[in-house]
Amino acid sequence: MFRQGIREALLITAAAAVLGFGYTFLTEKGFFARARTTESRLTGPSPSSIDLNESRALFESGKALFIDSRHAFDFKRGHIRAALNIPLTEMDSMQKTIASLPRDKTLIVYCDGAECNSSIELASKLHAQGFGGVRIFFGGWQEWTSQKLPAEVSQ
Amino acid sequence: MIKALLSNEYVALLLRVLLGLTFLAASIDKIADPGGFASAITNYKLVSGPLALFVATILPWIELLCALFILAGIYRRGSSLLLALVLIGFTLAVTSGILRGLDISCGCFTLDPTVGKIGWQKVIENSGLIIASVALFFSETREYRIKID
Repeated sequence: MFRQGIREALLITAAAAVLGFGYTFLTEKGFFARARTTESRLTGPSPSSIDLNESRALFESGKALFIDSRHAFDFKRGHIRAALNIPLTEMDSMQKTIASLPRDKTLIVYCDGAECNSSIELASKLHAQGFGGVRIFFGGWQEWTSQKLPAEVSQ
Repeated sequence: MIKALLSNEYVALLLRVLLGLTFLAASIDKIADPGGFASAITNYKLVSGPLALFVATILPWIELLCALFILAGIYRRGSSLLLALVLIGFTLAVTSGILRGLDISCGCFTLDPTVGKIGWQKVIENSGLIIASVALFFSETREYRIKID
């Protein structure tokens, strides 16, 4: 029983490898195209990243609006002071809010920290909707609080 | 009782349809966008970029072939064995991600990041599918299949 299963599994895996590499070769995807990793999504006209120091400077100058892409539950427990919560999962239902975002300010999108990707996705979508000054703060909430920078909780 | 259940042709058919349709649907997005799937894999921070791309090139096709074979009732043992291994791998990755506090989308059945982030619900779902795969591997019934031998 196991020998038959393993033999069939190897056969299927070999067929999948042929199909996978054949398909990506013919369609110029995956290995045969530029790998579209998280980092490479940020090249070209897409939103660029911003570090803590620059984020802090823009925060203190009031020239930026911070947008928190985490879930509302996390946002309520604590967020960058005056940040606006636009959870990625609720973006469609918040189009009115998005339409009212200032276009003369830098929009700095963040989530938990370097290990989350909702800020990248939200920033890309805002950028696609015509917001030019969108930046991604990869350090996010974790780096902000580690420096004890201004934060607040929502009721 | 378990042996009787595994020999029941309707139980086996139900498991085949469940697994077949699930993985058929799961494979489409990933096949269409191997780069996106590789990106979803690297978000788990368990493997390097090239290895993620290698997995993203082959894994969706394994899912598709297994789904088609299971629905057709051929290479059932090999397909269910592979699906069980894939699911165990996914579940370990998701569990590891949850325990490390990663805020990432699963990448399990769709690459749409708005579907939601990884959570224990995904672990429970996958565990159910692992049980279904293992049950199908041990199932002895050979009804409702395309005969190739």
